[in-house]
Amino acid sequence: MKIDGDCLESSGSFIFNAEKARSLRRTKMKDKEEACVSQAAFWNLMEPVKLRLYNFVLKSLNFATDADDVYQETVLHAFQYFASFRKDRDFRAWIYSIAHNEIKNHFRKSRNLTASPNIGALMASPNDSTGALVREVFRFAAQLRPKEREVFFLFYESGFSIPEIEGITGLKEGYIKLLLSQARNNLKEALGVHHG
Amino acid sequence: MDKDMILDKEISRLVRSLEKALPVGLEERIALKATSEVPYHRPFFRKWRLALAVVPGGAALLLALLLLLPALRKQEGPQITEIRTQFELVDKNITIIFIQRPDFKLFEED
Repeated sequence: MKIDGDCLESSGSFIFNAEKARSLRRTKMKDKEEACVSQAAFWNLMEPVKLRLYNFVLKSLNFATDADDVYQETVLHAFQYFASFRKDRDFRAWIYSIAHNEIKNHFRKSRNLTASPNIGALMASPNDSTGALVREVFRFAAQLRPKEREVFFLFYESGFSIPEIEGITGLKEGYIKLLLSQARNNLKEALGVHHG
Repeated sequence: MDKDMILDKEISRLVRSLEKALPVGLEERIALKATSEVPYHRPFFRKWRLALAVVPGGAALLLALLLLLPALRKQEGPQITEIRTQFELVDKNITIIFIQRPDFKLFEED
């Protein structure tokens, strides 16, 4: 026998409770609707971030082919834990902190990603003067340790401020400033050579 | 400071000049995977997982403490109730025994 409603067990006997069933159904539908809204909100928030995020992951991994997998894991984890994302937080900083963890995990698993990328092959016009400077910048970035490279690209690629980088990576502000200062000094020389 | 800002802008421009588009099909693959996987909807366990881990741990610690308490308690030594001082006069076959008890009052005047 099928009863259109829920039966609640109460001290050994079943009590038909249609109102309770309707309320439960309404709650489930509301949850489903909220989930759909939440999914749509996630992809809407992702839209303006995705290209920069992908390039950040790609450059932090020295243009390794694994970058696609790391980016995919980042987005999937962000999607999975989107319910825990507080609306008062900056979505961009939140998803970058997930990317930071994924990159860290990646380097923990595979420590042999030290090969320098072939920047020339990645560029549209590698032979002009800008091409040489770009190669110089990425050659410098490739020499950095993974953590340092992340800071470098969070600042120069993604445009985060030092306090934001501190929030994403958990590194101390002083250390971030030191890394950026070292990068500036090194690149000043390297770029200076090409400027004349 | 201004020089740093100019240099930062230049480095940023050079870094961003090399930009790769997302590979074809990657977004679709991610979207497909995301929707096929069960979304994370267990806020209770997420919120209380630390408390849930701490409660049994705390209870076990309390139980261990209660069981160990009698064993750890300092045992009291036997209480001295009397002091005996014995003298033997062998040649006269006499034994004198002084028994000192807590209720024994020395130099007490009547």
